[in-house]
Amino acid sequence: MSAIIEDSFQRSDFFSGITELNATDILNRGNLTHLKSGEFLFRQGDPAVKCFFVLSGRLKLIKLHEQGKETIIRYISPGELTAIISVFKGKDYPVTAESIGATEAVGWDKQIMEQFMLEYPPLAMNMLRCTINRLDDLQNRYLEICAEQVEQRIARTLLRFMKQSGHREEDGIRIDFPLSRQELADYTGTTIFTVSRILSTWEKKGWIKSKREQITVRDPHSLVLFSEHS
Amino acid sequence: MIKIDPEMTIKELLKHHPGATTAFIKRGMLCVGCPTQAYHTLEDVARIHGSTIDDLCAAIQEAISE
Repeated sequence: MSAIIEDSFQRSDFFSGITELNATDILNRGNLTHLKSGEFLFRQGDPAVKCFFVLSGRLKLIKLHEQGKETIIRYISPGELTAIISVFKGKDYPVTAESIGATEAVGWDKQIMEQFMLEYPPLAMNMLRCTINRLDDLQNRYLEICAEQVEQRIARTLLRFMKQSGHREEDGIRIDFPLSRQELADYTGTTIFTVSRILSTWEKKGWIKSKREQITVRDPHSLVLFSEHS
Repeated sequence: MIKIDPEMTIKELLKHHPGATTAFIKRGMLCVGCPTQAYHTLEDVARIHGSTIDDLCAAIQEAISE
């Protein structure tokens, strides 16, 4: 566990301005949860009682429409926080969090989170910054939905995932988590048919390589140009 | 003069030498703010943009020293 803590501390903006000793204290005062792949950490509509920090693995945040359609709001990678909403009284989880691969997360309840925010002021600032960044990200995606063609949105999405979770390999930059065509459709607000058609076109052009839920961006430069100028 | 390592990624370069930004802008390269910043090295971007690594390094050195 200590190696994980050290790693989380090194790469997380959540602990910016907090000493390593204090970060360890903060992490140790939470409850560690282990999830297998495809388990739910919390569900949309349940009372938001805990805030979580991902140590390893990944969470997919899903928002369900009342008619059954679902949309993917974002992926939470190691070093990121989710369900900050639990700091406020009487709120429900706005989304469902599902694990992608084995995942470990530390959870804190409202009282302890409030205590931390008073005890360690930078933590409160970091949480505010995180919230603003997420809002900013959603605003950008909203603009993309309103103003851009679906091809551009898919290109931007692949680049966003690549930036967040890329792994450099011989033939390109691999997106480091399983990503199905359906998930890509749920994230970009389109259908699996459209995603498949577009990915096949890009595969023929040599921009990407896709294989069983694995996508490698082989030519990010062309994809960037396409996303900005098409 | 500062030695520029061709195997350094764009992200590392811009972190240590923010002044290098102008070199990319002047050459019409989209490296600043590119999602590939953390993965592509100076060698990679020189190749992609069809210039030589020596050319690019010289331009970066000039930008940093300005």
